[in-house]
Amino acid sequence: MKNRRRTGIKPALILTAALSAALILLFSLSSFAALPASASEDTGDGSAAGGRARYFNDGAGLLSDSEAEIIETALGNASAKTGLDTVIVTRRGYVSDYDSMNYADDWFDYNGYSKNGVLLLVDIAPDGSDRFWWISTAGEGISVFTDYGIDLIFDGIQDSMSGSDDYMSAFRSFAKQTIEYKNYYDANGAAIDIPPEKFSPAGPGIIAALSGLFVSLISTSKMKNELRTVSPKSGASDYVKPGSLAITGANEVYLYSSVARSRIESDSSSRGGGGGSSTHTSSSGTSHGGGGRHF
Amino acid sequence: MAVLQEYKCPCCGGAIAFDSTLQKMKCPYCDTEFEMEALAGYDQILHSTEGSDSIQWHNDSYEWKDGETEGMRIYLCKSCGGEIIGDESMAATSCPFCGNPVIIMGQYAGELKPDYVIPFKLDKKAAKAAMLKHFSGKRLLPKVFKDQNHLDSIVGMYVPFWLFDTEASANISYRATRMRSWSDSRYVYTETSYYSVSRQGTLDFERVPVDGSKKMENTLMESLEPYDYSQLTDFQTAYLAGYVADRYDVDSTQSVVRANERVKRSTEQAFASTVEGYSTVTPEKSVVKASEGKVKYALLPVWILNTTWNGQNYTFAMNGQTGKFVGDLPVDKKAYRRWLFGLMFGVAAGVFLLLWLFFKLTH
Repeated sequence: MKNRRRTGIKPALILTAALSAALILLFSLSSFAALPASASEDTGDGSAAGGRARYFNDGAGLLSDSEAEIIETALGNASAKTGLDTVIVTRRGYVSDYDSMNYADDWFDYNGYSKNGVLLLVDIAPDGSDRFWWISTAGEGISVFTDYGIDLIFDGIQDSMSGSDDYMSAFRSFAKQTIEYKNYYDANGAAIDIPPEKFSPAGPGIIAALSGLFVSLISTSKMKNELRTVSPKSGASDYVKPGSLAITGANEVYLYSSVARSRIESDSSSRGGGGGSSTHTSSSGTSHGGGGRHF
Repeated sequence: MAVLQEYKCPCCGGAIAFDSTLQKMKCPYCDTEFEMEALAGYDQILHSTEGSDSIQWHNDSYEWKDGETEGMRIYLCKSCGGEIIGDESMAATSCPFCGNPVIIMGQYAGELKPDYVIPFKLDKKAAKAAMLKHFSGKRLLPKVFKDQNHLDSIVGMYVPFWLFDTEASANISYRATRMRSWSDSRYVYTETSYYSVSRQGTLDFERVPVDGSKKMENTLMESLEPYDYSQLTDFQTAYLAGYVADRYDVDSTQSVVRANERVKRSTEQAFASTVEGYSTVTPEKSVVKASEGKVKYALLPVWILNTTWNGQNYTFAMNGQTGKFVGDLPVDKKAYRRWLFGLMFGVAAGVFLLLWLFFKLTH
């Protein structure tokens, strides 16, 4: 994939890219024959190193040049240490969460990065009314950054922003956390994820005690009833003349109605107890993980 | 006039009794069997030829205290001349001296004559066997009860019953509701509609039995129900030979109260079952009138077994026709506690283990 040019693929071009990707598969052409011919808009954010785009691509112009260099270095360090291309992209073009996700995935796929990586997209609405960030993961990055882990990263970088627009700290924190996550993953053989639920005996204990009480009371009272056989008869149903029931009058008078309503509880979306990473497939056919939130 | 009646064997002159297995009279001495129809004729002849015997009161030998003789009757046994002491309702018994079955004719004379009798179908042996069966399979019965329980007496008894025929007419009103529910995207709506529902009609009851003997506990007798009325036979005193029998001492006007209670309850249940198609039905007002009542007087067969255990009396009863056996038994408190706590901890531990395994398998 060396030939891929660095490019910010506009949404309108994604289709072309997808078609091209399909062609690759169909004709099994050599991997670098499939550059989308028209996807060539240069963001002008940085220079390619060996056909690879820069790690920090400040399309939205959030940092000064000197700050950008610091972050570029930090991301380069992180990439080198982790073996995961650690990329930050910013733009002022937020349309929808879905669009941001695709933009992030495509950026990573078509800019000459390795197969393994993590990309933070900061997407700001053109009128500044909404800010969204999305983390896209690929290859080993999908395993290192679980859904839960991505959530924690957002918590971390939002904390470091301390409510202001201190993107510098946020990006630094992102680079730092990437290293921490990878180290944790290498050391434990498993990613930072929802802590495994521990068996807490209280709930099951109460259920067990109640069912024990219930069963024992029911069955012992049954045993006691075996000993009690003398009891008065409540009715005389044994002595009803068969077929003698004659209903001579039956009526029904409607009195009134009342209506009660209760609100339908909307299902709170849950990620399921198992943790792990949810994945989707980008336009190039590559599998990505990821998650995002508004801030 | 109260007269003792013994059925003498026309062959050998021995006292004969009713045999529940054969459903005939049988002479225990010469084994001759007699059809009940033959006895019915014999009965009539006896009635037509009697007259000279009269009741013989013995109240001259010493002074009875006031009220002591009240309700007491003394008869002389025709076979051995022994004194038979009984209460005023005693109608059949056996002589304590010679064991011959005797029947006091006057007790069932005239208006006191029962309409029906259900003859004994099961004998003393069956009653004893049923008692042992009654003791088995009961986990909370003290283990020693079966062995230490002492059978004091076992008596085959014809218990006087009133059988009430009646037509119950009822007018019952109910408050009923119907529920309907639907929903839109935001709410679930539940509409409850209230109705006043009423039912009028009649229900016929046949032969609702009420025990007419003070000596017999009503609940004990009701526990023995039901009897198979298809075997109701016209009354003949000869059926009583060999058993104990009482005449009623609770009359039908007193007994009808209990019959009405039961009729009312069953009528309400039967009517309530016709109120269908509602979510809830609550009776509001109920008027049940029993009319066109007919009362019949019947003697129904009951085995009464009296036992003692640990100084306490236990009374059991068996339906002499169907074999239904009832009688409350003592509870072994230790065994009860053992079962209660054993089951409680056993089940709790089992459930806890299952929950733990389930957690381990799913996490």
